[in-house]
Amino acid sequence: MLTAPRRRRDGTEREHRPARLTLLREIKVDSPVHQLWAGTKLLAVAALSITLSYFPSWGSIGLVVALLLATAAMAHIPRGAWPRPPRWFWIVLGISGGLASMAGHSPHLSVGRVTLGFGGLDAYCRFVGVSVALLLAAALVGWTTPLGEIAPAVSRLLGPLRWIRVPVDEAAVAVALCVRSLPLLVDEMRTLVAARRLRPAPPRPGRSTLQQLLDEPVDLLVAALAVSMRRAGELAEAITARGGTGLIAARTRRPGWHDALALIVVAGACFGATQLPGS
Amino acid sequence: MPEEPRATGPLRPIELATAAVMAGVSVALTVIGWFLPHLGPVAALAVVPLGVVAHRHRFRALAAAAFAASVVSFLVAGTGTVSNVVECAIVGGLVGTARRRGWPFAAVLAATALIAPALAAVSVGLLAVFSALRKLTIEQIRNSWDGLRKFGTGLDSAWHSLANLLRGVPGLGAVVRWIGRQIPSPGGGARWADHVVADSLRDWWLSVGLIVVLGTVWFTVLAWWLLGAVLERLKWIRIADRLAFPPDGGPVGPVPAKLCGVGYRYPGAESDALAGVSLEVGAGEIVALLGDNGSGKSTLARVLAGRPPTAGEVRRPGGAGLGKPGGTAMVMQHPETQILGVRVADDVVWGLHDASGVDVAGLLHTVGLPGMEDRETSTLSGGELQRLAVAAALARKPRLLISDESTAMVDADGRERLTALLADLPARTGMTVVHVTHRREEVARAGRRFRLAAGRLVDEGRAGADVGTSVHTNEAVSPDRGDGAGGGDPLSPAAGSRLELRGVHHVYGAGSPWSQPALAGIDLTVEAKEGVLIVGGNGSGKSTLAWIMAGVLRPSRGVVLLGGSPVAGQVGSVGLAFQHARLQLQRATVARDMRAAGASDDQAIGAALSAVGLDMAQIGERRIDQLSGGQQRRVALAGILARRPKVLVLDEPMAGLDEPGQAALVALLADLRLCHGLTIVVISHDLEGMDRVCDRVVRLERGLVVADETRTVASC
Repeated sequence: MLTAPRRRRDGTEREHRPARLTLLREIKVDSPVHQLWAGTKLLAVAALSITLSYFPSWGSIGLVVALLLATAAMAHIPRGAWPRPPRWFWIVLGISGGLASMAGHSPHLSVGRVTLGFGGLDAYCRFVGVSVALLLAAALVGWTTPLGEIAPAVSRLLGPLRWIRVPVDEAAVAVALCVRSLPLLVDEMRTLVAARRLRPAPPRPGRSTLQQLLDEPVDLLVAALAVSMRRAGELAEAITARGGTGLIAARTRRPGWHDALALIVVAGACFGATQLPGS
Repeated sequence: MPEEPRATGPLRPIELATAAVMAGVSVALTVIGWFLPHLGPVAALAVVPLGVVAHRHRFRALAAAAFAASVVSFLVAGTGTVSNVVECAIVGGLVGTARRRGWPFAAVLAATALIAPALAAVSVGLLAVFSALRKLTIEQIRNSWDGLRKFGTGLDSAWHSLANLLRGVPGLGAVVRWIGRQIPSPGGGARWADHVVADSLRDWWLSVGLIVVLGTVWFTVLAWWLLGAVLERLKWIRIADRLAFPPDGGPVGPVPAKLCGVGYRYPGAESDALAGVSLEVGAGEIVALLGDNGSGKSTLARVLAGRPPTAGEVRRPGGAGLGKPGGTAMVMQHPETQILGVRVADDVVWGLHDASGVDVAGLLHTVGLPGMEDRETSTLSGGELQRLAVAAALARKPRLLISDESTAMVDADGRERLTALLADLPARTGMTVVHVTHRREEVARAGRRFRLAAGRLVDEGRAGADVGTSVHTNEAVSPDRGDGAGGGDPLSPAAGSRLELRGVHHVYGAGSPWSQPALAGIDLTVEAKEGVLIVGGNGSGKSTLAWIMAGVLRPSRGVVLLGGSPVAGQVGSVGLAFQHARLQLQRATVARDMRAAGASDDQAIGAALSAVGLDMAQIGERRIDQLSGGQQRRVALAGILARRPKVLVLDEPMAGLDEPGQAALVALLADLRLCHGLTIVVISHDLEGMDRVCDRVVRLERGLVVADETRTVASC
């Protein structure tokens, strides 16, 4: 059976665009947000997360989201960067929202003879709002920060811990190598899933024990780990061949006056969020 | 059981690398579980990679892995994933350590009895601090429950109204009463559940504490079982840093080096990897070291880099000084894994202690990567990565540069540039270059050539004559027709295998700022029993094309038809052999993998294995990770053949194979096509070598077919 490709109104064939969520990948444009030191952005995300967790009110969510949207605009984040969730995401969101709003509770709104309680929906929206705001904050860091600047920033942020003999450099090298190996890992997982799809579906036993259920995930995990361990061996040899660890980046950006400014703005927003009604 | 790791001091490279890579795996699993709710339980599997770190290495490595995973997962998805990583690190650390030290399960449970309440206390404490979020969450759960109940009550009353209505209809009364009896009455059960929900939400600290304690205990049991199963299978993989030898101290002076009767035997091996090797490597010369896989050439390279031989001696003016300024530098085989920096400039200085004297831009210019400082290394091609590795080596101003098979995984163009670069270095900088390779055409500019065979140095002139006939004892192929099954050919494909691509376009991340065009309108028809070679350089879109042909990647536009119907509906009919065979072998043993791949019985397994020159009786019960890389490729191919594909697509089948390995593979593919009538599509960056298999060559450039020509090929 040949299925006709979906067509646009003008008759041209529509492009298939799968659901997509791109994180931790820089959008290479020049903007004041891109110029900030990576550590500043990490601190800002942490501060906003804590504030929202303390005060998940409409006012604070609105303020934080407004700040994040302003940052996104300043960073020239194009519309195409936003995640494209699959359809089931909206369905699940709708069903759980519907269930929550059926609970009623005050405040009540009366339209003629029908009285509706919006308490459930209100709580639900705030709950979703907090999650979306936190994810948006993390995504903004990824979109505006070169991956290579993260580990040096972590190293500088943790600097004071050197005084109590925490091996900060070692930790920073681990972060740097982890970031470096992520693209390879993603490729590997894609291949693993594709290879799995190319095989016939495994027979489903009617009544399966936990062990049978876990059989296939364990097999796939072992394949992924076997490849990863070999890679770790090769990475280790590459480190040894360079005479051990040392620098992890060529140029490290230092925090400057605009970082101070950004942190003041974030601190102001956090303080503002605590003062808004409902907090 | 792994040896007890070293107890103190900074992490060694192997510990750091394992920690970082395993941290990456745990982040990937956590994020998959987080963003794809239907795969939620996958997040729990993150306990395994962290457990593997604890099993192989000491606590300090686990701490580094847990820290790296926490930071990276925080960047990807915020605090929610961090808690998963931390919990997996605690439980995985406990179980991994217990497995390493041979603690009994009871001891692990006893430890959990201490850890679980502590975790519960932390969770309750955090919820007490973040009281507003806690109240919101509790309200949210209560609302969902109330909503669910009201929904249930609503359904119930709707049914009653409907039932009352229907009862009036003559003849339906009995039916309605019967259905009414089938519906569970909400009464007692619902009221009980109501109380439970209300009570546990009111005394949240108690219920959260209980859930965390029980959850942790259950998770530990699960982790014990999971890690047991995984570690049992991973024990076949021996990972060692083959360059970690005792520091030779003293001044650095790697050349001139004189090897006298050098031999090397790996611990536990039955024969020598090297025996009686005597040669001299002078200052400022180019030495080529030829040999096939397993000839001992890489071992010799490591001896030159400072590994003390087990027999004979190496005389040099000072120590080899691997990685030290003025010492020895190495460029190795796999492009992706020897690059350590995230950006090009980072990689040049990676590991140095002071980069002030390093002219990064100048070095990049030298190796032909001018102005690429800020490019991310993950976007570079194999050839570019290898030249970057040379730049990183040059940053240490070495006196000896060893290229250990650095050209093996690179395309023809990249190989040419890399060998030219290496050949120019002695004249330009006065350093010595030792180039290890299995390709004879690369050694033209070498001052002196040596050839290794079975660990011994053979005279290059004489060895050259018998290259074509040299046989690979452990991987020799005798293409068996596989017709022992009687009756028809068990491998012959079903009819209707014409593969048609019509207007295929593909863009990765279409519509996003990261969109990357790969295919720009491919029209291609592969007839049944045809052999097609698709060649193209990096970025030509050839791997994308392979995935689309097999139906595992949906093109942005266009259709792919196999025998007239879309290939997406018959995934598996086009077999795809990936470059990375290990990922295609997804079961514990060869026989089990073949069965999962689609072989119906032992006879089918035997036929498929013998078609790739392997013996079922010999190899059937072997563990996948006990096989050599070459054997893994063959088994992966046999698995694909077992499913009797109509078309076989191979992505870079020749990469990394030495001459006898390549000859054996070509013989096998020619046999499959000419004698078994299989349609074969080979994706490659090299034109050479496939004449016997493919009579048609399609050239791909920037996502378009630029040439399509047919040549003649010998028949069966």
